[in-house]
Amino acid sequence: MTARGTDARSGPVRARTAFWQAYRIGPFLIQVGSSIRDLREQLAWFYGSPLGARQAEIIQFNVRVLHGPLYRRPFAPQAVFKTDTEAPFAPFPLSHAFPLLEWGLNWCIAMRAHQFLMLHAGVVERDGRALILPAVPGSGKSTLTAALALRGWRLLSDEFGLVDWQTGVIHPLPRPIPLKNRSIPVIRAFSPEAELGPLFPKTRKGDVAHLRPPGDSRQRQHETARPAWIVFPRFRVGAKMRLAALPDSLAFARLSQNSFNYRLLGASGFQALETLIRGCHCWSADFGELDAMVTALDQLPPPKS
Amino acid sequence: MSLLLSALRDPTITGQLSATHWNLLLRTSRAHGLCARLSWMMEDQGQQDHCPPVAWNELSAQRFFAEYMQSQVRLERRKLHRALAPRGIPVMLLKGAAYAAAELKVARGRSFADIDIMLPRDRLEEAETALERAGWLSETKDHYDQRYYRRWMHELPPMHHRERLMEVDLHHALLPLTSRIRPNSGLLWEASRPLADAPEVAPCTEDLWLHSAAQLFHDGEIAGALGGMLDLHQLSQEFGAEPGFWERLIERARMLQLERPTYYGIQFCVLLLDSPIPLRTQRAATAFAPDPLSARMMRLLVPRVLEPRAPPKGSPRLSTWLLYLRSHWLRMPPGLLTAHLLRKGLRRLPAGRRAAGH
Amino acid sequence: MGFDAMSASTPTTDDTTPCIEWVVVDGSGLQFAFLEPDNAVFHKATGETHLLSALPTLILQMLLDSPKSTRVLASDTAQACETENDPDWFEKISGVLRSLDGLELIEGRTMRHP
Repeated sequence: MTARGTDARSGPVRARTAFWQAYRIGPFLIQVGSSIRDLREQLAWFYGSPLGARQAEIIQFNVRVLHGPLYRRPFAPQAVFKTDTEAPFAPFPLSHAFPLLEWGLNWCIAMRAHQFLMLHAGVVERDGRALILPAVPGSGKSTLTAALALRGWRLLSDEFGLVDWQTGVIHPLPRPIPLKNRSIPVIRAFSPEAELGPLFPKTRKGDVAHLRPPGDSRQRQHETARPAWIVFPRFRVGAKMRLAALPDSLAFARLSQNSFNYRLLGASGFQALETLIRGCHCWSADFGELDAMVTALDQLPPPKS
Repeated sequence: MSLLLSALRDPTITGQLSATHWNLLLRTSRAHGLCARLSWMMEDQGQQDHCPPVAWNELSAQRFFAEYMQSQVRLERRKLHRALAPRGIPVMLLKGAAYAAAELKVARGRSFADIDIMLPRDRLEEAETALERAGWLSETKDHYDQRYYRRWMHELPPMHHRERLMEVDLHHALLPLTSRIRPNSGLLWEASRPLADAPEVAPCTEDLWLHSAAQLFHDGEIAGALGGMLDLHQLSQEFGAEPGFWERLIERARMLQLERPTYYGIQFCVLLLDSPIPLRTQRAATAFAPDPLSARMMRLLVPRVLEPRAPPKGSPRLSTWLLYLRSHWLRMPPGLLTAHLLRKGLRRLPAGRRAAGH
Repeated sequence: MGFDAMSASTPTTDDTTPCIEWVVVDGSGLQFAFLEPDNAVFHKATGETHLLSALPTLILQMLLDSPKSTRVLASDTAQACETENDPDWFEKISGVLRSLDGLELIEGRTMRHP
């Protein structure tokens, strides 16, 4: 195959890959190649040790994070994200290689994993049942998901609620939770057990530091969960804690708008969403204080069935 | 021969691939945008159960893009019909839109960037006016461009409706007016066939095949990519089963002056994809061969078909990808909640009606 | 297979165009989720999802049974909803039909035997 863009050494990026490593993250086998040595340690810290040399397996996402063009290296070095067929993004500063990789993986998943209805949501689990926290801007979803994962819930996912549309179960995708700006000290204060990675200042989302997924969530990453609760959180400074039941059709509308691929899935998405809504208690929640919200979520009514 | 080509020739080979081979096949299928189509070809051969689930998910998940785009094509067709039918302007669907409307196998998993329709040349201006009144906009406002299209091209500048993304190409001929060959569009209309459950017409099967070949090998160049070859291959498989199809095709190629693309189409289909084209048809087509019959040209052209097409323009950048995903493909339609109507005055929904929808 | 004005125009009311009846666009591609307080409807023909309250849902289901004119629909729905079929009701039903037409869920056709 002499195809354009499928070869690591073609195109403007000529950096040599310093390492190739494979990780199993939830339902996906991911292979990462990079010319950036620091990235290897960061990956290992967040995702644990990579899979050892073993028999070849089918890889879903084969990605690379490479040094940008040579001429930029002396003054403003860059990192470039590539899949095995394209380079979808503009380069990042070299020091932001890890957030770039995380974004790139998000992109790969959102574009390709249509065996799932993909909700833009944090998801945590208790006693085999999942609590879904769909995100809207300013909802405080990541902060809340992080807090719950530090208080007895098992982290399933922060960014993608992966609902298998054929069976209705949720697949875990335990990855680092990106905390932005003020959320960073909030989570540090919330739990002394919070393990935060390096601070990446001035990304396009502001200052970002990632919470390492708790060991438990990584070890149990193949244990699926049945959804039981859907809570649309909304954080406002000074707001009083308030949980209100949400009518089913409103939850349906909001969740469909919150999904990465609802519209794309057509009838399959429609049926999956109906099943999901019918099987769950749906609430909206206003909160101004993390502890009160976590306590309230600990006291949700028992699952419908 | 590439693994992808082997799999398209004979989907049953996917039953025995190693993981390493799968990784190669998935990558090249993605690069050519053929995942969904390959998955349908495999399913036809009963290969779904022999395929590793991970690979099956990768291939078949791409069907959703095709299905979604096809639903957008259906919507656009209905809108076009509404705008044109009151004036009695007939519409002939071409290419993908025709394959999908005729429910041909080649349409399954096939993606669409636009919809191609043909209009009678003498109704073109009238149709354009009708569409503009109904909210379609021309993509070029430039006077010179407009004149260029009208004078030299086989289609008008692309149009799209101001509320939708689907691009509409209005053809009045099969090939540009500048090209050496100019198939007579009147012949196309005469031979066109009605579609089941649709108000438009479609070219007859031979013309569908010839148009596909004409696009791919127009002016002796390979204009299309592997996806275009696969169209021709699958059309050959499906139409070839009709009695007398190949004889009519050869005759029709002469009538429409599409001898050369027909020759290339047949040669390439057999060479690359082992299409079921009878030997006597292959021999008959050699009469259409360029002089000298060039194996050398084949060697030059084959790799070009196997090169993946460049990724679509406007590939999302980091700063916009989320926005893109949401708004372009995935966002809830504006229609949502707009029919939130008139609950007042209704006492209850009769119980029998509720069950009826399930 | 004709190109006449069969399904073309958007009818206004039955008073001026008595021979128009409404049909569901690709009725076999409709799926309902009966939720509270509104219903979700997936329409395969357009790939769109709509939220419909009870009255438009009822109308859509009546039209799935068979095509009907605005007049017949006004009468049938009034009966089903135990309300009076007065000019206000007729206007209300016409409004719902216009909205459903705008969503491509239904379209107007001239009846074969006016």
